[in-house]
Amino acid sequence: MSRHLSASTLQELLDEELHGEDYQAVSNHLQDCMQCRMALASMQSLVQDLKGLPSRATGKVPPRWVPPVPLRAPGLARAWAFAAVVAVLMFAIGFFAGTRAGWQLSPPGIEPSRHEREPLSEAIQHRGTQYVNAIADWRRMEASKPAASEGREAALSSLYGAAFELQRLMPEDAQIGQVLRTIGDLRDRAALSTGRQGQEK
Amino acid sequence: MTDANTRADTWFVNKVREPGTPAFELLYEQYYKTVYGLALRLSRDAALAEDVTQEVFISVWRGVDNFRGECSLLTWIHTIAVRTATRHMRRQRESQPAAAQLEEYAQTAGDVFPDTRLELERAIASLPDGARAALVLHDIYGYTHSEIGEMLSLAAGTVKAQLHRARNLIKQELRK
Repeated sequence: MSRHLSASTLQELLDEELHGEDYQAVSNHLQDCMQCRMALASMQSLVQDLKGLPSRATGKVPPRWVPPVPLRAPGLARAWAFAAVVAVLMFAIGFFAGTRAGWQLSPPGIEPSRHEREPLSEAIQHRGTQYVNAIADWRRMEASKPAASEGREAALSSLYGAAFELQRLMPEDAQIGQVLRTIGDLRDRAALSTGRQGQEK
Repeated sequence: MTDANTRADTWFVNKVREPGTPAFELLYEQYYKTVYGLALRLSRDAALAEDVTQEVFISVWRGVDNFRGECSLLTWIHTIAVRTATRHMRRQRESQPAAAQLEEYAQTAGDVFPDTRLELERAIASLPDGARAALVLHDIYGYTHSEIGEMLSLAAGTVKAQLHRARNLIKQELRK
């Protein structure tokens, strides 16, 4: 290597990016070339100065900012979102059940459907109440800190049981069937998680 | 990243995910000064750096479930900071700052980094955006070419070229 080293090669050397034969050739050249050694020393000095600059602001920084987000874990937020979806579905089911109980929703002059004339059975009312209470229990358990995995699993099982009974009484209702499957998945995941924690202990 | 660091970061992030713990506040306390410093050097604008810092921690909060431990927590947060700052800066047309603006920035930098060297800060601030980002991330924050490439969505070779350009420009600036 008879010509002088380029600035780019010197920087690659400084950044430890030359290896093997390339590194050896550059090292050999530097041993014999005062001009390149001086250029390297100049570049090295600049890079050392830059690397010595502080990365953390230790002086005047803006006042401590308070995060505008509630200090709640994202996972829990999702659980609340799920609970909200369940609540909406519950409302839909309640609405549907209410129409079956004979609430007069059709405008005058229009014959109510056969569906609306059927009274809401006591069994549906009873199971529906159990279902709503089970949702409330599960939500309380989710909000408890720290969420006890056993309690959460038990609450989900109760919720599943209540939804199952409700679905048994209204087998034609697709929504409650969907809710039941979702709760079942959630319950299975909770059971799996509890099992893993037990094994870890 | 060592196993111990990975474990520590994963533990910290898991705590942030847990309900009712002050882990996010601790995370904020630990990292906001480095994020603000980085945003200030990238943007050369104290008000914008403050906005970027806030936005970064909102993104961290919202995206904490996406942290997979493939890099350190600090690298992950810095990546969000670089992308956020770059997005903000793209909205503002890049222009070469005037001498008075550089002087104003140097004063701000001196207040924020009391141990810094003002002539270097001034020279860094005079660089074009791309070259400045490559130099700040490589020489001050210690990232590799490929890590910077990931952060800026550029090829490692482009980052290397930007870095070399930045160092040459700084040398010229310091000779003035």
